[in-house]
Amino acid sequence: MDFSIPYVNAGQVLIIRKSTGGVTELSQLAGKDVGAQIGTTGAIEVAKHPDIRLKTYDEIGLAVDDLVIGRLEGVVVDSPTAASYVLQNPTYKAKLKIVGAPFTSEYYGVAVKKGDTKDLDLINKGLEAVIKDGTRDALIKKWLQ
Amino acid sequence: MSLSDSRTNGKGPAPREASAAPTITITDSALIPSVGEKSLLSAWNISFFGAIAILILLPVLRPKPFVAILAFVPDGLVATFSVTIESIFFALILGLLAGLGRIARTKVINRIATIYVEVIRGIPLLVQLFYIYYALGPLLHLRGTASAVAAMSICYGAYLGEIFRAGIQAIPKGQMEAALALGMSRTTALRRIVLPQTVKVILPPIGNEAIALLKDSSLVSILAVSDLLRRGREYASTTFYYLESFTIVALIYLIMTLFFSRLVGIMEAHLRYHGRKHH
Repeated sequence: MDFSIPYVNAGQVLIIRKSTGGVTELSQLAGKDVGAQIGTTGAIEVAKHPDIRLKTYDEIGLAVDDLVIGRLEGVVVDSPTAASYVLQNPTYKAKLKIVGAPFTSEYYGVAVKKGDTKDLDLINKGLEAVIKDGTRDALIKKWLQ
Repeated sequence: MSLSDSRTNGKGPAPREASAAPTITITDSALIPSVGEKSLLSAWNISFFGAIAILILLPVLRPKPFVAILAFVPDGLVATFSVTIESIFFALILGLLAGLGRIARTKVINRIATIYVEVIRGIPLLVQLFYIYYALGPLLHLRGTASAVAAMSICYGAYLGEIFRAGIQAIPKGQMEAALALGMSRTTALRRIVLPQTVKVILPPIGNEAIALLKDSSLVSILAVSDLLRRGREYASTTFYYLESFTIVALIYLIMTLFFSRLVGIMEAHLRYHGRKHH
């Protein structure tokens, strides 16, 4: 496989309850329970902070549910998933918020068959165009933040 | 043992034909090793010491993943033990109440106890765990371990209730009648004559339920409780040593259950011996 130029950073973000004030990054949740899905980058990132109690879940939805109930102080998950829970789900929209920008770099690109330079060039040209004219940023703002 | 078969025979139309059809009885007591078996190569000895030997040999022969797994996983033992012990404690209380309720003459109490047993026995433990944690979470506000203990106690309380009921009913009626004839009240007779004898009868099945509960406690790992199984999965999910992690987890569970089944077996033999002395 060959990959196009990256078009969005789907890195890890922190979700907290709207009522939790003053938290801008993960390290501020020292001594608190933070949830993530087992085996994901989110869980690995939280485990890097030994003073945060990591709770691993089989499904990220269960962690988000526990955050709403108040059993967790934060959930770390990649930004598109966070966005779909926090910005689009009517149950969570009013209660949760995403804090800051992604703090890991995990870029999305388009995969093509290895050696298929014709399609790859076409995709890259299109992506460059939408990045340059601000369409990409507008879409990120609309759907991921 | 007829009193412990209520869970397998309790429901469904049991074919009771007059002709002596061949039957098999699988009792709950299957776990407990027969104390009489003294051979050094008994199944229990082979399983127990074999498991310990493998647990020691694996990190010696292949230190690469196994030393790290053994350092990471036992953290979960505390959660597994505390969930098991707390659950069995509350389940015994619930079970005794349910068992007494099932033999109660008051219709309302009897009905409540029977509904509790029927409903809980009909719902898988895993579903109950999810239910108490997530569905009732907004109302109950229980933390992971507490809701795990609540769900396990409620579930096993129903199982134990049937053991208590069968145990009480297994004591010959004459005991109660004699106590009543001597002028005891029904409650006193139950407390001082029937229940002490019941304890001896129900100890083996209760021991088995305790061991089953220890194994079922692995289900609480779905509630983000860091028990033995979840610790193993957490290690495996980042290092991809799945087979190795689950091998260690399985061996630790096996050693624990074999140890406790032997303990229950010894306790049972002890009770039987002391029970005989009185006659």
